Amino acid sequence: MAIIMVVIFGITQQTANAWRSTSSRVEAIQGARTAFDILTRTLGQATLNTYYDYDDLTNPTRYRRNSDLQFITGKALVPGQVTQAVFFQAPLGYSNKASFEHLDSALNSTGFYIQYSADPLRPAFLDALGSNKPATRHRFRLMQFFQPTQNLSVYADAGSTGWFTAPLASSDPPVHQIAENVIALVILPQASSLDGNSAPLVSDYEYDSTKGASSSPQPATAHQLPPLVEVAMVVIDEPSAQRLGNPATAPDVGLDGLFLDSSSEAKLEDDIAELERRLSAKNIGYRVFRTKVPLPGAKWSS
Amino acid sequence: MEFLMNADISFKLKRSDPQRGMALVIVLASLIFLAALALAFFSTVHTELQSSKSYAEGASSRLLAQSAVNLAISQINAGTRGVDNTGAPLAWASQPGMIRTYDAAGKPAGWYKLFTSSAMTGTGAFDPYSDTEKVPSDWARQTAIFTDLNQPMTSGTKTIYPILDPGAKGNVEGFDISPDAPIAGGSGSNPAPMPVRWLYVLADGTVVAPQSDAGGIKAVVAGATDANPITGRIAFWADDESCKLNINTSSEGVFTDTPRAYSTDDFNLAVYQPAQHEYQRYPGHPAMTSLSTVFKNLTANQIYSITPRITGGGSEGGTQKATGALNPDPDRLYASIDEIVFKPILSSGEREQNNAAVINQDTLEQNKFFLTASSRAPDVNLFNQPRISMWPLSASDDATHRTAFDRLIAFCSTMRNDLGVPYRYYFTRQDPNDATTDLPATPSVDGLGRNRMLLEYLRSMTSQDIPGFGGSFAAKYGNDRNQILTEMFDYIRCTNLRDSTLTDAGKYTQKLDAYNGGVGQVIPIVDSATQTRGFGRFPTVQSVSLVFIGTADNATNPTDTTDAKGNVIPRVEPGKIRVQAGFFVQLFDPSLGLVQARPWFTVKISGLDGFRWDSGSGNPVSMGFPASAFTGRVNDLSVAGDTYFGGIVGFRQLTNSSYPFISAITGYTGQVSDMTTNGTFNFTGGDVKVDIYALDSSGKTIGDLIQTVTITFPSSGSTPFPVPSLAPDKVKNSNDSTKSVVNYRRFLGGGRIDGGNRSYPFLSKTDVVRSIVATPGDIRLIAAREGVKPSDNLFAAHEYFGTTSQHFAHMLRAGNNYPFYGGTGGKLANVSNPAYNSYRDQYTINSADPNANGESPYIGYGWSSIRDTVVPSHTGVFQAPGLVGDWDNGIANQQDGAYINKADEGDIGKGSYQPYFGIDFQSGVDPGPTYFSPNRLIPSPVMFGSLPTGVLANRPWQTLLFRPDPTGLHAGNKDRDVTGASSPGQPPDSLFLDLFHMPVVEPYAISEPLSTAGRVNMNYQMVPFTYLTRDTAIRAVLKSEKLLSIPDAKADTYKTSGAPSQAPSNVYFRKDVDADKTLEGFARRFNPSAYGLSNDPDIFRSAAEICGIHLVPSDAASYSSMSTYWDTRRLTGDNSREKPYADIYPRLTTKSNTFTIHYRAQSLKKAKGGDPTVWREGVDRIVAEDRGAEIIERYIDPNDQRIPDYAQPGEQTPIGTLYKMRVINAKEFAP
Repeated sequence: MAIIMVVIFGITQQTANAWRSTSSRVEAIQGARTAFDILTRTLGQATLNTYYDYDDLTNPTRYRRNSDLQFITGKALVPGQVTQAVFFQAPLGYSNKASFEHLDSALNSTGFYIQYSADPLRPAFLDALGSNKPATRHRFRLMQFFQPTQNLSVYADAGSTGWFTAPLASSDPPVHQIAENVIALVILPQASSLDGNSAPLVSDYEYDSTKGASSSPQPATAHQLPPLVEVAMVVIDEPSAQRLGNPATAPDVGLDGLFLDSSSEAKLEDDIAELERRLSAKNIGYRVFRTKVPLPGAKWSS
Repeated sequence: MEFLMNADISFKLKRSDPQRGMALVIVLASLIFLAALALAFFSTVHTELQSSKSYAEGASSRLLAQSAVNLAISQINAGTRGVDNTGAPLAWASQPGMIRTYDAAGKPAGWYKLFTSSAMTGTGAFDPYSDTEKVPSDWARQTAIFTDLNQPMTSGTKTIYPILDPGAKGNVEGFDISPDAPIAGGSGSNPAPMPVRWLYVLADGTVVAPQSDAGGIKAVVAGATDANPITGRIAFWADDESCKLNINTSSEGVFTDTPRAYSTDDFNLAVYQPAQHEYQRYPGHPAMTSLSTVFKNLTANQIYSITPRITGGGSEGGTQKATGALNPDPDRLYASIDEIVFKPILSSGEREQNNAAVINQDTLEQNKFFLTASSRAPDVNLFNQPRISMWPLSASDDATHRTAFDRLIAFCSTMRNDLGVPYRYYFTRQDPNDATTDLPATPSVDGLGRNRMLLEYLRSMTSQDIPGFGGSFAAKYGNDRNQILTEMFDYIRCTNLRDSTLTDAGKYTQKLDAYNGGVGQVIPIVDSATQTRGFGRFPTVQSVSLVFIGTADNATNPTDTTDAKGNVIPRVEPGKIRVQAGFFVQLFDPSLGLVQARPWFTVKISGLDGFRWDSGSGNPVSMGFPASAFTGRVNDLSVAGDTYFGGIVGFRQLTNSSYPFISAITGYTGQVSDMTTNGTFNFTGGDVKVDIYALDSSGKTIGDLIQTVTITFPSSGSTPFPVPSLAPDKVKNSNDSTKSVVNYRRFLGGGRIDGGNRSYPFLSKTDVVRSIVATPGDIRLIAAREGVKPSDNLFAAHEYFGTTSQHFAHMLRAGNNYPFYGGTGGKLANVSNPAYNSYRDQYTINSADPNANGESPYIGYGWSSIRDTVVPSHTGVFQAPGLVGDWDNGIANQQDGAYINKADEGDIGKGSYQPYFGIDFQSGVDPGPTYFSPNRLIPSPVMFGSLPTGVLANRPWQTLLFRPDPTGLHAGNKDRDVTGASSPGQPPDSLFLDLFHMPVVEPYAISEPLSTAGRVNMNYQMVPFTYLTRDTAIRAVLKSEKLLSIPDAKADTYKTSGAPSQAPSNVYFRKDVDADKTLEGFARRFNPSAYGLSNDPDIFRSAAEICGIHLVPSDAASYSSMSTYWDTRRLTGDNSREKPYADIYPRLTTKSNTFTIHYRAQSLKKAKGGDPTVWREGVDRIVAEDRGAEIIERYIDPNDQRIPDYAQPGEQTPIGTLYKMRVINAKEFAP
């Protein structure tokens, strides 16, 4: 009897575990897959509208590539950012104002980054409950910065990243969570084999289309969209996330020292393998999403 | 219950361990729990499956959409390869919905539909009006076969069309929906349907064009099986972005041109010139293309406030004098057309709007079919190889010699910057004072040798049959083909001679002395490989003259006297006249225009020692001219009436106080005896050789002989020359404030040549002049030869040479065209009285000469307001009977003539002299940074239009034909040879244009290597939607253009003399282009049968074909009336008739690099059962749909290491294979 019970209990328990873990993974994957899809599809529409312009409008001496837009990836673009972020413009035609809602190719500033934070959707009244208030739920969150077209300030903020840092710092930032428990986002701009050899275009994950753009000669990255962007996203499952204990600051998920050096693709592979090893060691359920997103708007010239 | 009560059982139960029942319960419960778990799991899985499926269906419709786009791209790639399967070159042309190719015989080779159809490609010609190709009227019933790509969707109360909002009709110029449009019946049907066929996609990816069944509600899809079922269907139509107006390059054009006549509008053109950076008035600049065709309710200044980099101000549309260069606004370029709603600046955190009343999302819905933010056209020729820049650059690549503009133009014409010596497709120059330095014999990729490579590159292409047209220029023109290419090279070399934004040290032509000698002068290039020659900026011989003067008679010399040196001066017998002669050369520079050209050369004359005269003895005596000597070079004095802007270079330029070509004097010992008063004398002539030599910078003759002109000066023969009478000894210089007088009885020693300054009339009524004149007068044929021989028949004795009773047989004129006494007039156009009342066959003075004070008036009488020429014809010049000659209208008041349409380097006027209209007074002032722009000099290669094409064939008045010729007789027409004779298969001259381009480098790189933005495709015909007309962009190109049209009746007044300070009132020669009538010329090409024409329907294969389309001015009755329109506007020169094409051609294209692919894709699922090959509309299921559009661009990375040097002989790499594709904008249609 005891044996039967133990066996049955064991089966039940395992089944329940399997169900729990599967469903939490399914949920995690479902949410993450949608988010990954949004990210890669949006990224694929990035534009710079590059053209050749005078180096000096009133006293030109030569042409150089120019763009009024910016494509930027980096490790510290947003306060509290985890791993990497990317910000750019795309003709997404999004507006929350009726008079612009049919401008379906108007430009939007958008971007993606991870923050470890409290639930941004938590209703404010919960905080009014005093000591009885439920605990704030801290998680790694993949956020999308998505500004309505009528607020696009990149033309007015030429030469700075104010076009996304200022709205992000505002009281009502145009940003929303697209997935939870995303602990790592790796954005690695690459050359395409169609344009020569396929290799990372920057060695530190910091791609900025405006960097060095006024120097002569311009670096290849100046005002050019990378032809390819390798995107990797690591998602952990909710039970693992709960096990991390809901601290107010980002818990250690094994990211230390990883995703800092993008000098080669092999380095990225190593970093991902190392993260997987560390997550397994911590018994954290995870899934890695990876793809190479071609940026069809790129007109790469080396 | 009984059973349960069974004792045995009950016993058993009793005997059993109660835990066993528990176990059962637990097991059952666990089972239930597990079952529930399993159910929950399955439910989750099911939900997940469903969500995955719908995701997959969505993804699959997106994939299908992508395959539609890819199919369109592969069609574009196939159509634009530029070679056929054997590697033979193909020309291609694009239009909305199609790319067509043409072979080197000029035959249609094939077509590539850019829309889904049952046959996506085909060979030969394509007729969109044929029953098989046009959209069937019952398409709407064939629901399984056709789909309307423009099917609208509603969003709220709005109906949104994905491609074309029919509400544009009436609101946008040049848009129409024909009554023949196949509009589906019933209310609410789309008034602007754009139906195309579905292509079905099978599971294995096969794309199948279906067969229609059951009236089109079923589609039979061959190859579909249960194992390989129908999974989707796709449809697309690709629009050509170059048929739309580019909001990043267009603005609102304002006409400008070099003034060519004395009219109100031309005078205003001179005075109110476009300022620097006033791009909307730069000839040939895409900013001349007018957005008001779409934004009807915006003023020009409102448009300038929207367009990036274009600002109003400056000349304010040609109504004010600009005070300085404009400051272009630094605004962003628009990334998409929707962005035109917004300004770059924010206010209260929100972008300000441009002009919300006119430009908003509702109006943009109507306008989006007509606007683009990203149209580009390739800068390759019909051979699909790079074009050569029209702009010359200094061989010294440094800041002293090259301006920013120069460097920008170089950038646009350079490839492979990864190489130490990149491939350059522009000419460089170094030495204006040498005939060969700038065109060395040895080719090289680097340095000036590149000029040789590029010229040979041009020679190679002009030797081949031209793809799309057939025939070659080598076959058409023979050796004149080389001559034409050399002329073109030299034309480019002689452009921008004195760039007024460079310091003096960097300018091409230099001031070689204190009097600006050498400024603006370029020695014609000589191609040592072909012995052909350009024009440079240099004069040649127009006429040679003997001037006989009466120096003494018995009254002045009654007795022998001795001069200061003790030499005896014999007396003159009564009834005799003592005579002396001078020999003079009048020059002519066909390169009329600004800047000034100051002479810096010397002339040697040989052969005059053979000239003899005989005053009746029957014994001819040598006239005493030197056998060979150099003329003087006067550059240290102004010669009145000589303007130094080209055209006539007066004979006095070569005279000075040691002028050697003065004869002996009659009556002296050893000389011919004095002549009989009012008698005649015999003259023995011979061949005269005129050698023109270059001078070095110090003024010394250097070895280079520039030109030798040998002219036969015939003897008097049976028509002896009249004897001059005694000349006046006191002739007032009317321009001389000191009122000094000069003795006209001598040439030298205080006489006509060196007495006082050179403002004298020079000739007197008492003289006798005999000239040999360039005949028939097209000086360009003389200038283009290194050696001119008598057998070339380019000179002839003046019409009165053999008329003894005529004392004056000459066409001597000052540089400003003022005739000297007795000079004859000449007409280019056969316009007569009463319109040309002031024309004189000969300009003489009727009143006393000299007057009572012994003074002679300044210049010939009767010549004040007309500008006739030195062409020896009183009835106009002709190429052939019925075919008028090609000659140019001179700048402003400058006389018309045989010029080469030199690029206008600008004049802003000096002091009180108005620009251009004061240059008779040498008042030209370089434009400087307020006005300078390369585009103002060279809008396009149409500027070549006055270069002669029959130099070697000796075809006077025949120049490149870049305009329609209603007679069809001009040699420049297709199917005509160099002599104008019928010769089927010969190409039209306009195809020369295709080999060159003028990069647009302002206000940003509108041109990039191998492409230019904003050009408008002439092929606006939409395939297969021929019932839709969208010629808006062509209208936008034509809108700012005007034609110069000088009526015959204005012959007396269309030019004036002097330097007018103001415009005549209400004289207008510039006519707007009537776009409606002009576009008939396009429609005739697309749909000839609609105009009763028998030729096959076609599209334009090259933008050069615009030169065959009449631009119909506002005062013309119709397109057909253009065949006779110019017959009554004969004073409009060839350059003036071609100039509008120079401004329009560079803004047109027939090839596009950018397309918008409008697609519709559906994921399909067939209902179970039934024939797997049959799709049943309404029965089988559409599981997902994706609609949208992608703007794609084909482009070349100019640094792609696969790009070869096309100027290398034999290089044949098809450039089409080097193109890549990018997606500029992808949007789904989901309003």
